[in-house]
Amino acid sequence: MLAFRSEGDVHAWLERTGNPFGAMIDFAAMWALVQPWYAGRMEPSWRGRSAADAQAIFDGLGLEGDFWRLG
Amino acid sequence: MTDGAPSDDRRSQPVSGGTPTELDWAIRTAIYQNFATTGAAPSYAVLAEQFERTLDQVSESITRLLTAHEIAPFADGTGVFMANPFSAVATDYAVETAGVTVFANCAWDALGVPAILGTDGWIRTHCAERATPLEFGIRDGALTGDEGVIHMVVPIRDAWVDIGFT
Repeated sequence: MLAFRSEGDVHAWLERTGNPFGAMIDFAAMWALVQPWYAGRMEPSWRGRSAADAQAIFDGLGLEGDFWRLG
Repeated sequence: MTDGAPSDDRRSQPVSGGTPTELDWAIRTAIYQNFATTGAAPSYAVLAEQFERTLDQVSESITRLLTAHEIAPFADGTGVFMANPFSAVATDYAVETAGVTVFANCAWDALGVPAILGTDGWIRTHCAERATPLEFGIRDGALTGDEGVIHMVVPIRDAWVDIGFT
């Protein structure tokens, strides 16, 4: 999961390295994702998260498509 | 000088596989707290002493936590490699917070550091294509700095097939 200056840089990197396109989101969207994603994970009470709850995070943020499907 | 009662030595207790035990979760917590306060992973020796277990028992705990996608050890099993968002090795995702500077595993985890700590955090990295500096992060609770995008190759459901590559 790499950071790029622009979408154009992503496509140049994909062409140069031969990696397939997966998914791309901007920094603001990632900040919106990591807050619920990492909520509670420092707590001694953390016991993991179900796939259903993880999927709900993606769905709630409008992260759609096969890339974001857990099952 | 025993009276036949079962040994109270935890080191003699048998191994259990499968889902993480309460001790495993406590070890996970200790790993995360060490990263949060020092920027580094605790060694297996430190964990063994803290939890009064053998090195093999700590290794078995880490294996169960790996199965649960909570902790990733080095491939040679000698220590903690990742406790997302924290990396035990230097990466191009250094995150500076008020209390500690840590390495994140990737761009997702770089923003994950201020998220998990509930603090501000400043990321210094580079555009993966241009190799030019990118600096951004959370100040006063808000995202600021350079704008950019994050690309992910591996679909989320396969992230832990090879978490190091992901």
